[in-house]
Amino acid sequence: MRIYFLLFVLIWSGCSKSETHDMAEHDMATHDAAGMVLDAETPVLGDHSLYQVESSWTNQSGSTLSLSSLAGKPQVVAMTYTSCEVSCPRIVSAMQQIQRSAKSDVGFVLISIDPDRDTEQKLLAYADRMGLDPASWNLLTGDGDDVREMAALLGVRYQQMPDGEFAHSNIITVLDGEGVISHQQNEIASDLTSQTIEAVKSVVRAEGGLN
Amino acid sequence: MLLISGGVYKPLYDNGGDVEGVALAPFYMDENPVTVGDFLEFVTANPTWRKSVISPLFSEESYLLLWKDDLNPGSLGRKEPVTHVSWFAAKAFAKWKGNRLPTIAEWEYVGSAGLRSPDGKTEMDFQKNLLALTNQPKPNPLPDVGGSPPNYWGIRDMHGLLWEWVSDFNSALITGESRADASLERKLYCGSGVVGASDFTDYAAFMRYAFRASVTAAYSGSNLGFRTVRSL
Repeated sequence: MRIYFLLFVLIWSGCSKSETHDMAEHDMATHDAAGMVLDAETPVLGDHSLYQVESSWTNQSGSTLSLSSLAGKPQVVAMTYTSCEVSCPRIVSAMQQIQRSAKSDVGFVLISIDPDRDTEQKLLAYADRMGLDPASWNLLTGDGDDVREMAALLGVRYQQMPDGEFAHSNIITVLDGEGVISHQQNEIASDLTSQTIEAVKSVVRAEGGLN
Repeated sequence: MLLISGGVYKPLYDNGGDVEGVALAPFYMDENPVTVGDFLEFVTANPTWRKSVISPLFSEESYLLLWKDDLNPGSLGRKEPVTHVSWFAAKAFAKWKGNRLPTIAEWEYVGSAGLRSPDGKTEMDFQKNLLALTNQPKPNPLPDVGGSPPNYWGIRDMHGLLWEWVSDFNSALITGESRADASLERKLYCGSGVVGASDFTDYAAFMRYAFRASVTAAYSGSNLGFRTVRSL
């Protein structure tokens, strides 16, 4: 069934006479990218750090925080919502497994894709129910546009269905201490979760932590 | 910007019985896509969005590909639609203008208007013309904006010139989706899945849905631009 889609892309790219030319220039531009410098106002973070995004979030304790406040240790991030009964508990369960196996100072972040309904009270009740200790876990809710942007950054796609539930990607992302994506798990499966655990351990090792 | 009266957008995919459609509040929309000249003003006023300094988090290297340097669009006409802009850059431009990117529902609602009525399907040959426009080779360089006849709302260039960013482009799901992944994917792409669609005939809309599902927010391409909207 992908064939149809590929066909569209081929038609689309085939329509542009400049495409070959574009690609050649694109390759050259890649070399230039190495010399890219960030604006002086940008915080001292890696070029690919998600923490340069200026959005404001509220966690399950009612604290307001910026993404950059998550810097300093690896963070394992997923986008879920608390009334989700099907896949989100599996995502959280996989993250708990990662937490048990990593045995290090690693943070865990759940960003709600349902900010209208997921108040901080809901987040707190969810954290209690799932046994997510507040020292390691941040359950975040925020502005709908910021949630959309976060999804764009993490490659998460989501859509509210007519019944109020959400269809969404099941992606678990590992961020290093500077907020750069170092690993992504695109579905919930035990072998993939094992790979994520290894990825977390290697980030911890690279940053001089113990595990 | 031109006023778009509120209305009801009927999604291409009914997602299991969304027969009511999406109610839209009135909003303003740019008559034309954002131009190279408009975007030059934006990067002049907002240095962090210039091509030499933009964070790679927010755009692939092809950002403003044909521009000679930060403030020089080179041979691009100032009235050409700006292309090679990422979703992040389009969003930042809209915010700078005090506007925002349209939602899929808003864009598709306006895009479904004909020349004389809010519902183009009531006009003869409307969809046939749309599909022809969507499939025709794109001229290089792109023509200036405003070249198409205004639709019912007075909006131009919705079809045939460009793909356009929308705020919720990443709501179209293709892989790794949690609920009914296969069925959603079938709704998006597969001919047999068209039974899940609310309108079997709107192939141009299918192509837009497929395109949105294929891009990431840092992507920038030679036929991808945007326009902005503002709530009342």
